[in-house]
Amino acid sequence: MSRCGPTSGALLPSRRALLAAAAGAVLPRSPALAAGAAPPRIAAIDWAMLETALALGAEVVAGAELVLYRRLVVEPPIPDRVADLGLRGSLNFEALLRAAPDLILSAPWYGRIEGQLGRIAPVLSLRIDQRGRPPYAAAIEATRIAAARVGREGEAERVVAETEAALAAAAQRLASRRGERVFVISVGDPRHFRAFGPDSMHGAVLDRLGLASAWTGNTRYVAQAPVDILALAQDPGASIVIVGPLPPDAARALPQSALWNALPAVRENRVRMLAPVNPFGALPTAARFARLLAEALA
Amino acid sequence: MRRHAEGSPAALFELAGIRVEAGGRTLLDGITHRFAPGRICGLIGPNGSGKSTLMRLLARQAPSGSGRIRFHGEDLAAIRPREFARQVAYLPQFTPPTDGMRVEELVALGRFPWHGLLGRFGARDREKVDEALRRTGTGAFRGRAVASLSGGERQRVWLAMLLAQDAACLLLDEPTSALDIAHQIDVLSLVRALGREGGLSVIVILHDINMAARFCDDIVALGHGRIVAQGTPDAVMREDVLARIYGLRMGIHRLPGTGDVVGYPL
Amino acid sequence: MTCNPGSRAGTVADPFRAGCAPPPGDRAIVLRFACLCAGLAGLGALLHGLGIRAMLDDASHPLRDLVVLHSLLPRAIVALAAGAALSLAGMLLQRVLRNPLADASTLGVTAGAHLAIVAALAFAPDLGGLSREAVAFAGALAAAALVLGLTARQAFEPTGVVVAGMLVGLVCASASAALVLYGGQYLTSLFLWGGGSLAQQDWGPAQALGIRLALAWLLAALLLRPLALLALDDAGAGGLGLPVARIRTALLLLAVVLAGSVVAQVGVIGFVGLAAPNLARMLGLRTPRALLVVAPVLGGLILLLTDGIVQAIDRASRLALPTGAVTALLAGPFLLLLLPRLSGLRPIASGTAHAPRSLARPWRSLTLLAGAVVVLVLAGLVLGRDRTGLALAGPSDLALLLPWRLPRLAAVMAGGAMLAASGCVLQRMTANPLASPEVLGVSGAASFGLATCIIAAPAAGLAAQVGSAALGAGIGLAALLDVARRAALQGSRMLLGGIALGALAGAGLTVIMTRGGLEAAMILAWITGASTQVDPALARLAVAGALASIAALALLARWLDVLPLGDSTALALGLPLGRAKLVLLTIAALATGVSALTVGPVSFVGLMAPHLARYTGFVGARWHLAGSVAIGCGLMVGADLLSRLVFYPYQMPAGLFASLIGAPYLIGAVLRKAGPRC
Repeated sequence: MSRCGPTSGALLPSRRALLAAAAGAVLPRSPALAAGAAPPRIAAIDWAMLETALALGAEVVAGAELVLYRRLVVEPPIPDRVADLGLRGSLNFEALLRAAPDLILSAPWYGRIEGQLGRIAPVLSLRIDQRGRPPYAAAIEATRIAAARVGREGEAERVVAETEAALAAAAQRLASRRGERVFVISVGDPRHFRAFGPDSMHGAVLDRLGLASAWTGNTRYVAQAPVDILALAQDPGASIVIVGPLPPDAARALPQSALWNALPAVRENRVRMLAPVNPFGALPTAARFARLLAEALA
Repeated sequence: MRRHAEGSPAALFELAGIRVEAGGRTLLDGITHRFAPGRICGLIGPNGSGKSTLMRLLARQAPSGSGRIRFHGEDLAAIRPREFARQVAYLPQFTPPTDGMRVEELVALGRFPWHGLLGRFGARDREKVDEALRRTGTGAFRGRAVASLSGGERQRVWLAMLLAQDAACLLLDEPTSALDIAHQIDVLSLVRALGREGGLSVIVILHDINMAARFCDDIVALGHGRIVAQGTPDAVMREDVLARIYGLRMGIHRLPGTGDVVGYPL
Repeated sequence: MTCNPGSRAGTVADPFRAGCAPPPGDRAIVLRFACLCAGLAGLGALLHGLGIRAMLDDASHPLRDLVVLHSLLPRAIVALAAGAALSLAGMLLQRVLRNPLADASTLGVTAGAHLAIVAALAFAPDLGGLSREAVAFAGALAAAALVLGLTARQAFEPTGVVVAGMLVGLVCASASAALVLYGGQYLTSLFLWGGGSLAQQDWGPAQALGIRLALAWLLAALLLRPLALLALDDAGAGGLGLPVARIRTALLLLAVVLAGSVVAQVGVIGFVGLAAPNLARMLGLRTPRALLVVAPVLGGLILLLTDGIVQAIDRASRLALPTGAVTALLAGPFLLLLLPRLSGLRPIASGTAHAPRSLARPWRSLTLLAGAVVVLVLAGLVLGRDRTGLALAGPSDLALLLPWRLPRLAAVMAGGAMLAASGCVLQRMTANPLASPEVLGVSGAASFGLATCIIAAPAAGLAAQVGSAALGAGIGLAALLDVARRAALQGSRMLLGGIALGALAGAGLTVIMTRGGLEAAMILAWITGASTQVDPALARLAVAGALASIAALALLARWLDVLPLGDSTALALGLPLGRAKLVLLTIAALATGVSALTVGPVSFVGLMAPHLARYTGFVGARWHLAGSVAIGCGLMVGADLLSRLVFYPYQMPAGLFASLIGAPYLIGAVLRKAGPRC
């Protein structure tokens, strides 16, 4: 009568065992120092931290909103054994408890629940998208900090190097288009777009590839501003890159729009469609965006 | 039980120069009058004559306009709400819906001025409620929902609540307006009996001049916000006075047997 | 639309027209109307003209001519057409239902259309081959059919219709919100708050709306005489040889089609259809002929002006507000202003004709209720889910899980109890069985207060958040009651004031969300997951708040016994009326504020619980309070359990489940009660 779910039986005792171990000081609290011990179990609330942890090869046991992650972030892929923690805005603490993490990776967005997370495991909260700070450098720093906490400093350097290599490769493929201006947008509905400004990760990648963000305006909502299509006409020389997914009704409506068709980029066939990319990503997103962009524009 | 014995030198209500205006209309235009204690006084007059406005002033339901009202010699506005409610009970013209409330629950609300918000509902309160139910003849349906009663029964129950309030003065705003003639007689007989037995002062608005003449000790007739006639039924039930009140030629007829006087439009 | 209007087409010398010829003040009315229109049109044209001028002068803009031609001009036309279509729909609904408050938004029609589009996009992104418009129309029709079907038995009694419409609309809106959030569209989610946008990029929507408006207007014009006759009651109109049912159905369909088209093209734009015809009536225009011309003109101009303002704000500050939210923001105060002038509304009779029974042994029922709540609580503590299925926690698991489940359950119960208690207070104070923190917009005001606090001081502690939520609730409630008192509002008008307040608070929330940023994400997280993210400190505060407010109300029960009998009786019994109301309202506002933090903004517990308690037969104030609290606790515990289990590990807002559980029962109860009045 005590349990009817096998997983709860499997996970909860292990959690208890870990707690007991921690209480008995057999397992050091700082996983980074525990050389030789089992790798620390990581739960990631924030997607940028989730992709970072996966890229570092950490032992990720849980992540938030994985259904949507698989659709929108795609890379690095999520192993099936990773438990889903539910919506980011309405995190399922019980699922997190069952996952029994040793470290929770979070971001300031989740400041409201940080105290709660701290009841389950230590929390590392890092922010990549922050006004006035170049996101690429911030992502490198965050990767290193996270790696240090999970005892994988070497992996951090590998990830940084791989990302640099990916950016360099993409920059080379796009060498002929140096200095061109690009609108990077995602489409909300047929009438609303979100433009990524220079202070977003996408903007930073453009910069690294020798391209320029055509959207220079006051960007809000963390480097994304809902703008009317009008804004895209302001720079006639710029190309347009649409980051997926494109909502079906927008895909239907746009080709019929007189204004859309009048945009120089559309007239001159300078619009490219990209597969989905995490809008608030870290280094893996930078590499993915650079690769997709190079494939699309080259 | 009664705090102000008959024969008290102070009038029940004493009004001096009452004027009320609302929305550019003069509702009461300089009323000066003394209501005597221990009597049943009928307020009559055509629609819009200011009867209800006057009664609402007496019951402190509306802020007074200019002028002065004294109750037993005291400034009306200065009396504390619960103290006033112990002395004056008021029945509005349209009694509110009572939802699912039962008769005895409604009547027990009349004890609020005595026990207040937190005081105990004691044996004396229970006694008063029982007495009120008995005197109004509503004890038989004390457990029924007020909303399930007929109009006449409901009016009796409300009177019982006023009695439980144990006030020496009752202000009744058209207690018979929604009743058929038999129930009108029934309710007004009850009012008169209660007034006589308990020595209560009653001021009652009535639509029907003949009912007022039959059940009241005094009649005050209003017209256009002024008192146009006052006195005993005999003094008011005269052709010339009625014509003045209603602006209409009226005949009168003294009934054989009872000696009551009735008026009728010609 | 199958009511052969052709035979009624001849419209020249028409006796009914003569019958409703304008009164002698005719000239003055026309003059006033002309002035108003000229003012609106002038301002609107000026603002749009400024926008166009600014665009044409912007030499750096290569597409400026095209932008003016394909975006700004159609936008102005769409504003005019959408405003006109909504007012025509509102005017028809008002006429047909003989209800000055009917409107596509108050009847839940726009929310239904919106939900249909959102759901279709979520589950069948290609809309199954249907057009957006067809989907919107289906949703609008379903909502209208639901509301009208529910109220048909009471002959579409005005307040009943509006309340049923509001319930249907709120449930639709919260379902849309959940769908949008579960689609992961955090960024576009501000549109879920009803922010229709008029931004255009071609003439398609303008054309579509224009054609539909013209056709609908012609049809309505053909049905002018029946429309005039519908002012009589059914028997009267029927007696004059009118096929009342067919005409009514045709006109309703027409209105629903119009509203559905507008939602499909530009999203939810509320209250224009309510404001314009009523404004026309306030100007003294009463005949259907005059209204048919005037209401659409006014509605179009109102929306034109509003959109001009929105664009001007956007140009000045790049703050792209959704026009729909701004109309609601402007409509709120207008509706409050309008209320005292509205005539022809009867207050809700609270049970005179058909008083619900009163329990002979309330103790027994209360014990049963309490027992049910205890069972639910135990279930809530023991039941859980993991990846494989339902999991019953054993004693050892409980040791781990209880520190999580207990605070959450306690907070949710406390939230439900406080909402129920304040609902009970408001229902008794206003003698109105439909009053509640949610219906009176008090919950919305609390949410707005909380959102303001999060925006102004993101780091503020729990106490500050609770305080600002309570302050918001208090200010909202005080404003509403002040308007109510000055206008001698009873029953139904009070409800409408509440709807206006709720719209105002919702629009304010949308505007705050539009600012975006970390703070908006925090607010969104609270809206969707308040009850799921409760921490022990909040739980303790909520429980303390619930105990304190319920204890205080139990002590004040005698006031609550007397107040339903109205101010007259309360005064006559020596109740310190002003003080009593102030104290009770303060408690209600505080309780609502605290509960908003734990339960979130969407729930009808404050409406449902006291009503259900009343309907069960808890009559006296103490019993009513106790029953409401027990039912409120039970509803929230059940809803929270469902929220945890149904889509594990994803959690739907518990308030949404509470509304889904309670709304059908409540609608049924409301109607049963009002039924015999027709």
